[in-house]
Amino acid sequence: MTTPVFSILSKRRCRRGRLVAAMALALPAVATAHGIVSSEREDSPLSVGAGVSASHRWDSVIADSGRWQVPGVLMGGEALGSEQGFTLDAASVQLDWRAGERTHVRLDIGSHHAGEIELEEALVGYRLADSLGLQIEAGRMKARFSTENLSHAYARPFSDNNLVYDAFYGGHVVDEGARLMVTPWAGITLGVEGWRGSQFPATAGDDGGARDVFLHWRWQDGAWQVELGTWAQWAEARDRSDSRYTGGHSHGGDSDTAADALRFDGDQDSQGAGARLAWQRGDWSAGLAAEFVQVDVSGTLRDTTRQAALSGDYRGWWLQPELRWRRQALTLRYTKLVLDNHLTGVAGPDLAAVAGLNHAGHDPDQWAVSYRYQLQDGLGLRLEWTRNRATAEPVNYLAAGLYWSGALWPAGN
Amino acid sequence: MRRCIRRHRRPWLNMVLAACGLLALAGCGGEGETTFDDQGATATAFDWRLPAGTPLPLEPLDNPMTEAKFQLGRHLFYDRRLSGNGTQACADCHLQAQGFSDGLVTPTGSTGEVHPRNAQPLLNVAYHATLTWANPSLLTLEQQILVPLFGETPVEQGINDDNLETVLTRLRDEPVYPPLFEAAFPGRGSVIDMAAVVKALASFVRGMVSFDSAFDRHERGDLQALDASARRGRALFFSEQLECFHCHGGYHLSDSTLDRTMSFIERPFHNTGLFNIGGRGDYPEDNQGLFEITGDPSDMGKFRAPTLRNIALTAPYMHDGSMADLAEVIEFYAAGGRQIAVGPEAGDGRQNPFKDSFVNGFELRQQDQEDLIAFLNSLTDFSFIADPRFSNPWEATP
Ligand code: HEC
Ligand code: HEC
Repeated sequence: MTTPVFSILSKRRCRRGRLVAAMALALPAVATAHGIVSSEREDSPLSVGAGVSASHRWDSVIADSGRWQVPGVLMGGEALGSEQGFTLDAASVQLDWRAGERTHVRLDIGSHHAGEIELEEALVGYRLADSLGLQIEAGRMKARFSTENLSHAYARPFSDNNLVYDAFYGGHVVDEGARLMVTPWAGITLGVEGWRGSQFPATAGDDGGARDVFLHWRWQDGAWQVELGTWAQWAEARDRSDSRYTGGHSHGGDSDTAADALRFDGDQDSQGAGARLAWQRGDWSAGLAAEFVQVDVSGTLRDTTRQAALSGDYRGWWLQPELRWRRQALTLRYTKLVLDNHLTGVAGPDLAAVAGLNHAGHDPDQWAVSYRYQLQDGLGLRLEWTRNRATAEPVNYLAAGLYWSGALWPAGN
Repeated sequence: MRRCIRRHRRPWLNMVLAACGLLALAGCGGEGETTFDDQGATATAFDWRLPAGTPLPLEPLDNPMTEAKFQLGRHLFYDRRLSGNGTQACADCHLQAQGFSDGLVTPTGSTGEVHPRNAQPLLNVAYHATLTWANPSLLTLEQQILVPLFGETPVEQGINDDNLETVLTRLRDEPVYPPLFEAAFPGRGSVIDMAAVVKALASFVRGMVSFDSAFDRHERGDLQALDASARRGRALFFSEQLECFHCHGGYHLSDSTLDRTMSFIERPFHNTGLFNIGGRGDYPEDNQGLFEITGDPSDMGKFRAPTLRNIALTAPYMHDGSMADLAEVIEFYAAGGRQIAVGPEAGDGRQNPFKDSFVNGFELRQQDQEDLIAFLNSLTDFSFIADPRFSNPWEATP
């Protein structure tokens, strides 16, 4: 694998459409176990799991106004950034129920931001055929194109959400839709998802909606566990506003009337590839997770009186090596965004300024180190240091927190 | 795949190599950037002296801005000889120290006729989508300036067919003018005619731009530029409770805004409930706003929302100058309209059927009112009213 990977890399290094290179980057990486509850429990048809993470952060990249804007990209959805002081990073309860031979139901109720309870998932699944593992799921769901989109602060090494997802996917993609998945060979999953578009970067209704396809491959052999994945997403937006700070949703941020009046009509197409590799021997385990996302934005940016055509070409990637020894885990994460925008039209410079599309003079990036100590089953202590250059001024901060996750039912699991 | 990994006895080496590959990949493409094709929006021969990020106003194709026209216009603006009887200049109703308004309820023209409307402040006029208090057809300064020069209802500067030649002769006899006209309109010789006068006056008024109030500095990021009270007032002004910003918002502090960056032009007018004569929504006969032009009954009492820049300098307020100070204006908005108990104008403006739904009334505590006034005071650009660029040139060269 290694040799072909690097030969592709060297040939393709500086071309646009780096999908192939990105796919090749499906490198060894550590699985950040997401699912606390396996829906395949043998004995009980019902399983309930929960998790919570709370941290104290000594600083934040969020501006004094309370608005978080990564210079160079239109933001939205739930990308609110991590606030200074004590915050509830995430809390959620998941319920999985095998309702019959072929039917399953999943509910996930949680909060990503202090105080706001949301129905993250409410889906019904049906196994259509056993042979190919053909199954359909529908309802409100988190997109499955990447495992990172499913991660919760209590189940990943870092309390801060992934910058790539905050910048390109409004934090994470949760929407109403349907999904078809097949497993043609063991370990390989192929999925297609169709969305109503009620979540950034898409909009619902006329000319809105989103779709994605993904291919995941999992493989385990002795000490090794490998997960590779690649996806493409197409999102269409009409009259999209950044609703993060409006409509009783202020999240402590000032509403900025000029920014709130902006609308975007157009498409965001993205392709990504990622990998997680884990290796374990005795008390030691090590891993690496990485992902590369290429985004094309094309459309019109406007407010009540002005408009300009926007074409954005963005790349984002993150790399996350990890080392564990018994109860301790040390993880490093580097995240970087390269954001190119071109605006055509008399209002381009003004709209770019209002929308926060002007480049900050450096590419947004973030270094973070997390140290976790497992106090007892499910319960852990986390210390983090972050050098966050996602906005114009770099900010360094420490964070300390606790996280817990576990099964509530069947008890004792 | 399986074979490849097995061959690598050292998993770490594998990962490090992979990591390097990823870094190499990410390194290419270099720094991101934001680029523009503004399609000529910043092209101008004039030094507008605008702060970075402020859009340029439109310049008419047949009267592009030049410094020479601006300077000629400035001389004409302050010249009383530019009136029928030689007694009134633009500057007599538009005084720099008062933000180019005149402090009167309504002004009087050169022949003694009283204007029904309050003299408007002149600053950033170039950014208004229509000109004067309520005229949707006055779109350029070149059109508007004909009104004070030649208008008959009322007579302002009182130039007419009979005295036109006399007025032009006065200008031609002034030795300062020929070189100024020559510089402003090169290639025409030093022809002094009304077409050139109007273009030059329009250039001067168009060039009267102001973006240096404490509020502007605050919006540009100097958070200390507003004190705590003005900051609270700013929040009130931009709140859905008071609604002011819907009509007085944006960098121009008016919803009637036009600049080069705009693709969709709005020319709004609003009835704020100042009158409701006879309960029919009527305004006094000489001052009925947009209705006077369109004849559409629903346009009764609709006026352009003025910019609130320099508002502290330009009392009294409203199209008829009927409000003496800002406290009175705020009480009027808090009540959601004006109630007039007695006299020919009696009526409850709060019930005016044509009143804009954003003028709804609200509760204000004493402190809130002080804060809102502190914010309105922060809209004054002191450097603009002291700027020698806009001052009387004849005083420098008597
Ligand atoms: C007699 C006093 C008087 C004189 C003299 C006068 N103006 Fe005015 N000006 C006014 C009044 C009153 C208004 C409001 C008119 C209306 O709404 O109908 C006004 C409005 C304006 C406006 C519109 C401003 C806006 O915000 O839309 C401009 C521009 C203007 N005047 C420029 C001039 C110029 C240039 C001259 C000299 C040629 C001049 N005025 C002479 C009283 C005067
Ligand atoms: C519906 C639109 C609208 C809203 C909302 C509004 N205004 Fe006005 N404002 C106007 C119009 C139109 C005028 C001129 C009215 C007239 O003269 O008849 C005006 C006039 C004024 C004036 C006098 C300007 C001058 O030069 O004489 C002040 C001061 C003012 N408004 C302040 C405010 C404040 C403060 C608020 C919020 C409490 C507010 N306005 C809300 C439309 C509005």
